[in-house]
Amino acid sequence: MARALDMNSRADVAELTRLERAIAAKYQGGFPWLMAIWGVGNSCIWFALWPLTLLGLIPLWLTFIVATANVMLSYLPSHDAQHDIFVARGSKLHWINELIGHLSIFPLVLAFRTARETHLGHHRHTNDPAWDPDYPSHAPNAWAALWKTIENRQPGSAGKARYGAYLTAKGTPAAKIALRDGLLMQTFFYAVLAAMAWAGYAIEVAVLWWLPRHIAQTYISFFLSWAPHHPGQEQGRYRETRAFKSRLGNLGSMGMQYHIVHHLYPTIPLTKTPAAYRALRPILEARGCELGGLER
Amino acid sequence: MKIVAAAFKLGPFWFGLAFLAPLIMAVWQRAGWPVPFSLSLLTFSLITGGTLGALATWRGRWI
Repeated sequence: MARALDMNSRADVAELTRLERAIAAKYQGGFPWLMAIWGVGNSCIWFALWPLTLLGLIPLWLTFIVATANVMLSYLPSHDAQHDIFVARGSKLHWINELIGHLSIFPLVLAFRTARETHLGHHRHTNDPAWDPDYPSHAPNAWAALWKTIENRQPGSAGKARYGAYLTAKGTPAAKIALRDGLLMQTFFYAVLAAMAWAGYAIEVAVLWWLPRHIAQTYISFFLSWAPHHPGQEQGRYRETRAFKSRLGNLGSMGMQYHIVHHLYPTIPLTKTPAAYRALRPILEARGCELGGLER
Repeated sequence: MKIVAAAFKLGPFWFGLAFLAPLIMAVWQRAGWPVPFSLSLLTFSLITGGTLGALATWRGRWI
């Protein structure tokens, strides 16, 4: 019979780390085809909606439903690209990773390099009030978190200015490029809204882009930022995020129930995090992680 | 840069004029609602969109 682990013993902790890494390695690598098809396909459907809607070939209510789903789905494939999961840096084919990253996140009006810089900053500074770019999504409960997503979009709110403030403070060449990309993307978005609206397509562009983006921002902030990090008061590898059981299930919460696996091993593709979680669960328990009663 | 920064500070006001105004106009037209105070629909939409944007600029929030 195996003896119990002693978490005060260096040898036991080292053995646990070795086991943890060996398990995680099984889920790293390979090209995540589903994520690639999701990212490119989702954006293609959204782009196709534009002529279909502007030519009156589909009703506005249908445009609104499909576009909202498209914008909600636009973040996660790019998120895999932010971590160079599709093709690793240094490969001749790394441009494929970048292409998926840029293309998939476009409907959300978040420039890929802005998303990457701020997201990697989130990984480095998770739950740090001063430096975590996603810290403004923190809230004491679910309803407060939903309200916070709206608060953070008000023109004068610190939450709205957070990414810009983070990138400015970071000040590296990559951060400067990310800041420039973000400003260009925002300017392009508002220019398109205005041009389309004065050209007589105000309602069309509202249901294609403006309203879906607001709904998607609320959803993404809630499920991708607030829920997996709540209560977000601790820092450190095993306590900064958690597993949780979502009322909307794994699909409804877009895989975020297993977000703890992502923070521990960011190069595991989203589609493999549930299986990795199941394999890693005993180790995560031993490490004292918050698993929220998520058995499988 | 100062001009760009100033333009961004007035962002909600521009948004009210550039997007909300034509959106209000389109919604009003589609719904067939009467325009108050005998204003033209364009004038009414610009006043409404511009006022909403100006208020958001001043208050620092839309809602």
